[in-house]
Amino acid sequence: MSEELSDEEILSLFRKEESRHYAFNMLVRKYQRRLYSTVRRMVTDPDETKDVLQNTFIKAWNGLDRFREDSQLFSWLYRIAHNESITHLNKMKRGLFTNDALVLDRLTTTLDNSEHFSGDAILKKLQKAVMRLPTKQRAVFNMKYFDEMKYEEMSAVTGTSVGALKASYHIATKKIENWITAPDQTK
Amino acid sequence: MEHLNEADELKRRAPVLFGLPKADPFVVPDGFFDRFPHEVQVLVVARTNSRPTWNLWRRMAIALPAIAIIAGGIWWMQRAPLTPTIAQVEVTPLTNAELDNLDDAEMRVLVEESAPAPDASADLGAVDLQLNDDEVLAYLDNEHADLTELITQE
Repeated sequence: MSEELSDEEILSLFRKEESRHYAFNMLVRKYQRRLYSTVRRMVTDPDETKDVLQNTFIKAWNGLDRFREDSQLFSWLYRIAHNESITHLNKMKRGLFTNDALVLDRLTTTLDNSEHFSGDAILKKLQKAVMRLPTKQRAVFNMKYFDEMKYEEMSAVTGTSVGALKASYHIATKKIENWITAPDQTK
Repeated sequence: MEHLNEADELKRRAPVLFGLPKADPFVVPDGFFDRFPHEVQVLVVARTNSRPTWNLWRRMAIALPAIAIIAGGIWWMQRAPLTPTIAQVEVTPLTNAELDNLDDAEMRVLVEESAPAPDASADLGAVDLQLNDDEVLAYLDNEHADLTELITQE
């Protein structure tokens, strides 16, 4: 990446018709890595991650004219990616896979078979434990544990109160601790 | 400060989780981030180009039924009522003095106009004979009809 424009520069260029596509290209280049990690942790499969990320940026393109600069551009993009990931997982439930257990089975199978996972056994165990969480609790855990977001930011993304997010994260960490320390977990 | 408190809390609540490295274990396919911006750009351009046509069709799909409903409503409001109004014609009967002043031709027209419409079913077998006065007199003579009786008969 040779140069990285500030959010203000990107938005300013985006408002001009002649530099609109260039500005958007810069936006994608700037945030694709961070958003990819966010989506991948939720969706797991690399091809599905790509689809969700494409949808995220297309929605960003459609809505960037209406973006209010009083919020952070990344937080806004993160919120779109979060919503798209949840929508994707819900579609998965409604479609071929009809309940949480089958979705979990599919996600863990994808993880086991994926050549795109470099973690050791304990990291794989951690990922499987995270996958066992309900979808929204998983998103909360990922935001706090991996992305180290503040609760206020998480509240802006999810539309959930700070108190509820703290409670959700607390429960999630307890569940995961119990899972990864349990002696006999075959899956 | 908040972060430290949260870290301490996590360490106390979930020590094994706290001790794990936070490295992202997911490997990104080779060259993904080089290709991805171009792929998104292609999708965006394709959608931008297809939008006007799509918008036109979508607007027409909404507008045409609305126009049909409005036109139907206007037609419904403006159409003729179901029961037609019958024109009231006031007939003023002639006085005796007026009747006395009519000549024979006028009297004949008046009688013909005031006669009730012939029953169509009754006319099915009737023959319209065009007879002159002599022929009529010959017919009556042949039938032995009493002219006086015919004239005074109501």
